[in-house]
Amino acid sequence: MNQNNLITSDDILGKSAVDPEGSILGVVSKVHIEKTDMKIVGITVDMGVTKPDLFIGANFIKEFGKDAILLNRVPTDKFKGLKVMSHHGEYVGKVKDVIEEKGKLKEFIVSGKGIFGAKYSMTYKDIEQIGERIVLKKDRKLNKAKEKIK
Amino acid sequence: MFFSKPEIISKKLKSLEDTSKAKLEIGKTVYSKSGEYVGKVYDLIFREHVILGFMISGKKNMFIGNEYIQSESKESIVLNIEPVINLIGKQVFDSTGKRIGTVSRIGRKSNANTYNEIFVKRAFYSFAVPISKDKISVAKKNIILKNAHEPK
Repeated sequence: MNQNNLITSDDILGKSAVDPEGSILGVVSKVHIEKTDMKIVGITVDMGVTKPDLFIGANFIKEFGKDAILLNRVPTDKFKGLKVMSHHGEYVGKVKDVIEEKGKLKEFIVSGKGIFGAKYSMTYKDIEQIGERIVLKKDRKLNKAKEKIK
Repeated sequence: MFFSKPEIISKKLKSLEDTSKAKLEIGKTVYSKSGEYVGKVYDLIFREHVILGFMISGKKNMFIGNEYIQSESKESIVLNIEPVINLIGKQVFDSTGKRIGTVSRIGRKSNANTYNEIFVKRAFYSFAVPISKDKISVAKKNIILKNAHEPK
């Protein structure tokens, strides 16, 4: 057994989980191990007080690094809570939910301004850029959401 | 009298409808192309009565030329770039997940929105390590290098 290839739970727990865009999602709080095969199936990331914990499957982990756990995919949960703004920089709303289909992002549900703001839906076609905020394309207006949010 | 419609004395301008007042530009929030906060406009720079760009207070005070403005509304301005100055303070990881440090300085050869290298410090008292642009894989929310970083 090559000792250099072995890591302990201490090398994983408490480390930052970093997505391919460099965003620090949170700190690894749990390591999930399958009882029978004794293999790591995933990790739980503590995303702070305001967001729920995030489970990341082992197949989405690129590397257990010395200081961080590198992921090979941006988790869709990261988009929840992102602010949406128009092409001109006006605040439109916040991403409330993300709808996936066959592992691909299909639709974003956006809650509009105010506490009782209407729900809107948007797809990738409406988006110019996703970063710190979601910026809509020029002259794009959001449609009212048809699907109910669970 | 203050709110009355002003008389126009100009050979070029017939109406003030499609124009903007300088005082309304000051205080606008500036976002980068990806929606990252850049700063707030605190002054406008003119040359021979023509606006050349905006002075912005953010992580660092900066001047952004008119050519980098994508769109604007009553409250904000959206740029068509990610200002390289915004890389300052971002964390740098190598391809193996090792934290190299945070960006303390940007090495630029011209005033355009490009850079040749970044200077990374592990702690505030340590020396800044230069890392050239071609070694960087991703420079978005934070920076990830293409390969493992070996300190010299």
